[in-house]
Amino acid sequence: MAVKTFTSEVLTSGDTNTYLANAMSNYITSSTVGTAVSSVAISNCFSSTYDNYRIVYSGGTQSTNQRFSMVLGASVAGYYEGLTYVTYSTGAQGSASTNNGANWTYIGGGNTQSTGFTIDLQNPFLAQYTQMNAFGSLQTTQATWDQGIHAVATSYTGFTITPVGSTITGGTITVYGYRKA
Amino acid sequence: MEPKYGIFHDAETNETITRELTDEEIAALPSATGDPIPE
Repeated sequence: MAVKTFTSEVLTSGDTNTYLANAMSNYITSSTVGTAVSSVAISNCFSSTYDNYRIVYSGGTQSTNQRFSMVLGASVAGYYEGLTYVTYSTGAQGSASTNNGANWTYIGGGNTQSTGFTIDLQNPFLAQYTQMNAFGSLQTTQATWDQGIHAVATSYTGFTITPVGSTITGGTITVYGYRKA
Repeated sequence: MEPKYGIFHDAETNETITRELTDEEIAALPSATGDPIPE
């Protein structure tokens, strides 16, 4: 339905349900990060309710200026990714890649001031390859874009995020599902 | 070596536990070697 401006105090069930049905994404779960954490595993967040997911980590800090790695379920093979980054101080572009690796390893980034990432996953629950798109910033050093695929046609219900060679403190990892039509 | 801790959150039950990682889990943690970190 078109955008509607509500002016009464009571919403009809029809309007409410329509707006819920038209929402782009729904909250699934979140996990608060403690102190000096080496990994965060979130299980049972992928299901048949959604095909596509957004995962956001914000509000935390990282012990060193580093990125994050990610695996689906317990799978430690078949990860492909291409990282493109731009160094703020010079404008120079760079790249890195993973070719059939044990994880995606160039996701987001941060340091002792702040850290985080935004990840989109397509079809992790379906028994087909999972597409990954992520972006973030190595603080005042680099802007980064990371795209990849997990070339294993298996259904996964969860994932694990690991700050590479570092720990994270505070903040929240939140999982959203892109609503199906 | 200092202990390493992990968070394990179940979206279905909304339960979260924080525990020390096992030796196997620590061995699986990625190292920073080879990452394109700032020059």
